Amino acid sequence: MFTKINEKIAVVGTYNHAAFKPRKFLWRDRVFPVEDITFVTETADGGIRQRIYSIQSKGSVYRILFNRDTEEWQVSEVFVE
Amino acid sequence: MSRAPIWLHIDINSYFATMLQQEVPSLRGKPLGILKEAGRSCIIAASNEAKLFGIKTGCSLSEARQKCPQLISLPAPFEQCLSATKQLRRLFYQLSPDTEIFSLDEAFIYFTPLSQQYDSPQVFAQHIQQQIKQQLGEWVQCNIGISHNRLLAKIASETAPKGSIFEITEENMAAVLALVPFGNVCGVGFRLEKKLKQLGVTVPYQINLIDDETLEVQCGLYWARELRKIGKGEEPELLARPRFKPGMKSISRSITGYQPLTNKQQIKRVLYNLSVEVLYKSRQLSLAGRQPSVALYGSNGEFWSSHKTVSHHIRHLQEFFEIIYHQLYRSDLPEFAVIKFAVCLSLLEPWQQLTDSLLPSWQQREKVAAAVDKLTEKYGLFAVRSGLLHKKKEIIMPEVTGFLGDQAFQFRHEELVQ
Repeated sequence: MFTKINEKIAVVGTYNHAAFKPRKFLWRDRVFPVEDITFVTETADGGIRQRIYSIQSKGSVYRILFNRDTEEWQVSEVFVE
Repeated sequence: MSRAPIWLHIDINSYFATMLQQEVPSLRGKPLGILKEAGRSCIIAASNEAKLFGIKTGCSLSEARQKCPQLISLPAPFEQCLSATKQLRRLFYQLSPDTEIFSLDEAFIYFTPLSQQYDSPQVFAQHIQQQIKQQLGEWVQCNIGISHNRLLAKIASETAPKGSIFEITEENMAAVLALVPFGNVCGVGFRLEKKLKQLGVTVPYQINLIDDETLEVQCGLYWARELRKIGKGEEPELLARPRFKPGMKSISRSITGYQPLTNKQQIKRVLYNLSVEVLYKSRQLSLAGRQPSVALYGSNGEFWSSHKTVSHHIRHLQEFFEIIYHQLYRSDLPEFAVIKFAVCLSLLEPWQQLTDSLLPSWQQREKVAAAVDKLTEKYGLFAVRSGLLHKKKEIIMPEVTGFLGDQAFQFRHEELVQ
């Protein structure tokens, strides 16, 4: 199941037709290439709007979260079998 | 020239499990049992692969494991599913303004006005299937039922093989109604199904063979009339009435705990927590109610409930909780270990139809509530909270249900593309 991490990361991506696509992220000094984006979730709690990208990288699925108000990125969860 | 009505019913297959399999490709093709949360023991949904082992919604995890030892149990991805439902809703409204969201993973679309745009309802259905895959992902498939009313369109999608399109026409209607079990008929629940079984009725077509009196004695006047319609393939009242109407009658919230609670302070905290959510939703929807109620369930089948109808409409948490806890719960103090809690505010009316109280105490409470609303709007629910809920990780957060009974609340910020 998904296990919480909640650690800040740096993300590199591309914009295409107003849609952002993460391409890789830096977490704990390691680069994780984004092999596939399997789902994108939009959430809102009050004015705090977040976008969660479910991505495949190095054989695992990570949920990386973009806080649309603070413009901060974090790896929020990783799927562990 | 009038055209024959045609409805489509779209049903995403095994929604919770499918969305998890979409998100985590290594889960695809594996039997999944979905739980409400980690540590729970009731399966709330099963993947198509798990269903092949006979695992159904409502069965216990231990029973499911006996049927399928390789079953993978996982908590439901509620946030992902609600987000996907909002995407689906936008997609459906883009395709047709005559859309009715029926539950978290189901919708009806009225095809008749679109008949000049598409060659046939089947072509339209294929287009919907492609669009869903494009928006939610390649693993997400849906059944689509087509027929001349919503009852039959829904039966068609329920009986169709996974990921397919099936139409019920005048020609095959009797055959379908003679084959489909009541479990696949909208509105007929487990209890009613059992009563009908006692009459030897297991499929809708057999209702036509039972006389009115026998049906009324066994099922009551209301259901006798509704079942008669179902037997003829006509829409029952449940489907014919508008589902997403502004005049909501009540807002409720219930939760089943992990373990029974006897500690009065803990019970108070849960009741307060649920009350916050009910009042938050009612204020967000600009509604106020006159009837607070509370119900408690024990782990050994005990049940207690109470309600109070007041002369004015309640808009403030303080007043609502005062009635729920002090006037209802504390006055009776049911003595059993509570496993399930439910609070409700009924007899709702829109604020615009009500007159604000001129009492200074009411005005003061309204000012406080409006300030809390503003902070909640910015920082989220429970950002401002009572000391009763000081431990953040113990807070019961709002959650979405498969039935999507609170869609007026969930979609309040969604713009319709019409």
